[in-house]
Amino acid sequence: MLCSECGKNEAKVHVTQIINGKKTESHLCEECAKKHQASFNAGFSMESLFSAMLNNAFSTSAYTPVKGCSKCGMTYDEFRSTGKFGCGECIDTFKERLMPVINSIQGYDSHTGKIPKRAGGSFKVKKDIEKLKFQLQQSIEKEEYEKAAKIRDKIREMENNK
Amino acid sequence: MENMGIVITSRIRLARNLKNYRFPVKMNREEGQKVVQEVNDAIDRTNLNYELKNMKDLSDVEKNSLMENHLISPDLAENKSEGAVLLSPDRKVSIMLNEEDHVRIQTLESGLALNECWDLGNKIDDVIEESVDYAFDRDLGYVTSCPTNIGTGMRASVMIHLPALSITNQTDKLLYGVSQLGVAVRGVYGEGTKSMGHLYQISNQGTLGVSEETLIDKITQIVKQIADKEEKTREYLKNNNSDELEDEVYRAYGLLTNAKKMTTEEAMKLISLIKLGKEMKIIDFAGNIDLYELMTKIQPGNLLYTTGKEMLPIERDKRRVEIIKGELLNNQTHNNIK
Repeated sequence: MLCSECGKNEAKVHVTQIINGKKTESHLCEECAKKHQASFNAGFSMESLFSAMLNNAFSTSAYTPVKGCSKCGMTYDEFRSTGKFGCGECIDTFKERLMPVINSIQGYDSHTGKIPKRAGGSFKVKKDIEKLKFQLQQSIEKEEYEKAAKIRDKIREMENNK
Repeated sequence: MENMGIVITSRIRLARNLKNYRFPVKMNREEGQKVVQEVNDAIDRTNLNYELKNMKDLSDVEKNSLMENHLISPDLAENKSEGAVLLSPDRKVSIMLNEEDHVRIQTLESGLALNECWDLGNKIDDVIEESVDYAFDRDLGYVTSCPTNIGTGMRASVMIHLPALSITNQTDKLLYGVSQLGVAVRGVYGEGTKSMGHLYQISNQGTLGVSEETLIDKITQIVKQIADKEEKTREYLKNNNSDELEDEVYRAYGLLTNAKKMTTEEAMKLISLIKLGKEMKIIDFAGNIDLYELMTKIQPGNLLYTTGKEMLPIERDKRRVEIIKGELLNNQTHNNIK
């Protein structure tokens, strides 16, 4: 097996990490492992791992750089070295490349927490409806039909007001 | 458990950015000023009465003191452009502006109270959002400068005091175990993971895919378990090793009340032992002595700030002991030491 970082040497160090129940494995050659030794010793640092993975994702040969973010001028190279977004639109610019990295770092790929009232707007209603539909399904499975009917009415009401 | 003083403070931080301005890594001075103005205006529209402090107007001494009181981060203190902080009158809320993100709302409560911190932070967040548009992505949630904070933008952290686990060399193992649960552990005041005064900070690693409430619940459960271990270890020491423990505590008291000078690190360790002694009723104090507060007071920046003049390290080490001695002897009782 070749090193997952440099892709040149035989992988001799195998690192398995389980974050939030999601397992990620990396296989490194001795040279690349040495580079990571400090971070292994210091325990798991999300930031250091992130920039390493980011570098990896952006340096695959299949990827040809196009122009950067149209709003703030952040280029791919800049993003790679700082690991930071330049504005709210960078996320769309870099999303495709970034998703696998975010997924493996965070263990998830979608937000389920708070939604801002203004920026979220109708999106919040949509998420709420999704939640209710899930509850409806659960009620039906549990044969709690009275409760299910109430949830169904609420979904209708929300869909009409959208 | 709440009375044992093991869990010291709880803290919630929410990272937010304004949609209409470039993020701190890219923005210019003018944009930075506008961010400060917009958020300050949003807070001003309420009757919250927050105090705005611009980093460029503060002395290094003042910045260090704010830092040691956890009201600003080292990064903000070093910020050379438009960094600022909004502070609530009771200092339970601090809103850092133009640090890594445009807005970082931090709330603080004593004891294990992450839910209360979240309620408070969530309200402030709503207040700001009434006047500004946040950068928000439908899939990925709140857009933060660094993708490691994306989603909720929330870091929930709890500061705990683990002297008994430290004395018995159990912290490394325990904290390593905890770090396997997607939770970060670091020392407080020390460099990296090194701890001073047996104080540790426990916080969540991930910020995406889990709701704020679930994250808070997880950290709360983990902290409860660690506090329980600390409590049991104290119980064990009391039953099996009380002479040894009393000796350590009395020695610490002796040094702190008789020494002429002392470094921060030594003082932190000794006050930590006194704190343990007080909580285990080995040492008795009159009045409401707050030993954690004392640990904060004797940090280099706070010493300079309260003394109000520049001091050489040796002068600082002398001043440090004077403060500690004063505090301990002021609260002395007749049967201070049994």
